Amino acid sequence: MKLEDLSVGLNVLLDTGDLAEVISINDQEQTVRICYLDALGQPELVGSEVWLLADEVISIDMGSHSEGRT
Amino acid sequence: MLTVKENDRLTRVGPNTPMGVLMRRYWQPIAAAVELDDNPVKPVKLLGESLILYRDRKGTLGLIGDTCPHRRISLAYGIPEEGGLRCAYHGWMFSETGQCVEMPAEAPDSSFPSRVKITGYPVQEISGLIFAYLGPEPTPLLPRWDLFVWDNVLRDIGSTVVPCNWLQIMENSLDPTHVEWLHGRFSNYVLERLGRDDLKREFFRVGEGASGAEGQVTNNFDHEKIGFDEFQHGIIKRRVVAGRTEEHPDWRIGHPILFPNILRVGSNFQYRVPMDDTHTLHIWFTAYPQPPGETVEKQDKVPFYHVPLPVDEQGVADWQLMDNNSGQDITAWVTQGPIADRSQEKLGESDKGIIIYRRMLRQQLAIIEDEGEPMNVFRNPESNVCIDLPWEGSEDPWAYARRGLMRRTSAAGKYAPVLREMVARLDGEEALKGPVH
Repeated sequence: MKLEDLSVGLNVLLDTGDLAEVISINDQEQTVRICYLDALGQPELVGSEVWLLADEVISIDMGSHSEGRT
Repeated sequence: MLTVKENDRLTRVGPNTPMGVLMRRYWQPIAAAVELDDNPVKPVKLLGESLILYRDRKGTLGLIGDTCPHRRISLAYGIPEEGGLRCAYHGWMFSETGQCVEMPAEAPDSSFPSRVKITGYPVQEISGLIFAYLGPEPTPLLPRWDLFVWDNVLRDIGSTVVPCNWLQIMENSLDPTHVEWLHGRFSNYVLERLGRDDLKREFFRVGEGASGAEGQVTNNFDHEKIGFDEFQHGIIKRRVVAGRTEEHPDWRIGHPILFPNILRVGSNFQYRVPMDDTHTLHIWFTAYPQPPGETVEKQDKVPFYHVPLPVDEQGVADWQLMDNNSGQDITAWVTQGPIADRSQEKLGESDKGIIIYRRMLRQQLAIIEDEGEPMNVFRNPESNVCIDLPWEGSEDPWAYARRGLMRRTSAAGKYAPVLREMVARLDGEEALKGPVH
């Protein structure tokens, strides 16, 4: 996603399929720090934090609905 | 992106693998009933298991292990009899449960047959399609999806064996934007190479001289917006393409992906049945609505057709077979490799449908691990009389079907016998000769 579309506190869907909360944003590095909320393949990740490239964030979590411009 | 371990978890389907356990909770189609007319014994590979499908002389269907336990020869050469399938070598006979019921060379009062049993799985037929269930008891109901139950339709069944893993095929169904490229620009390139510029499709964006109007039978368009909604049977895929709005059925109704391995397009199901980790039986099941006021008799037999593979396992393509959506899709799937390496992929925002589907797979795996019942396992006969699904043609089935007839050469339907018969009946034999795309 574009960094400007993200903000701290948002729940997001990652390209791994995991759900996370945005903790902080680094504009210069184009990265976001996230905290895993739901990692079905690797439950041990839940609660851990990591920096990711903004590209690795696929969309804002909208629950059972998802949409986007192409 | 997935880790190598997670890719394995979602793709491999053998016994006791996580996905193999999940897939075994579902009835899986394995053959068209008419495939047994010529030879009532058919080897079948399903979820990594080698089996024999047969119809005995009483008409009972059986699906049993493919090897006689006596001297280990193949039961593919078995003789169907009134009470089961008899091994060609020494005449041991097995019922549809896999129970040995006769050993001709043993003493008549021997108890040996009662102590020999091979694998035997339940099979059922609906609307000319034979399904098998390889999971634990109690056996769930065979889902009566609407296309199997509708009255006053004609049906046909096509199939091919695609030499790649099932998951990359299903993920294609959660990927709307490939349509404008693979089935648009690339399709035009194929037609150009085949010298059929007359069949090429036009593309436009709003304000660029649009040649297609709302509701008109025409081309593929560029996507403006895509959307996905989880629903009780899987995921609804939606799209808004250039020149259309959210009022169009493609968005307002969308089309469903039925968990775990079925795509519904119009009045067609596409089943992606894992034969093993690197081969998928792709089945097209179509119910053709009829023109208003016309009635057709229920078919005694549902016709079957084979869809040719446009590309071999080495990725060498036959361009003549890539002039249609199905040929183009199969080419893409096979060239992703026997099992697509998702640890090396780069997904973007437009791939969110794929990601949502993978999440659903993992959620349902977790349900199984917690000894729960995954979605689309039916046990209540009252709710299984006819399972209606949303589909784009529901407001005017015939109008939708009519467009399908006009675009008949653009997908696997170009090989479908009932579709050709309907074109000939409605538009005359001449209509089958000209190019339609």
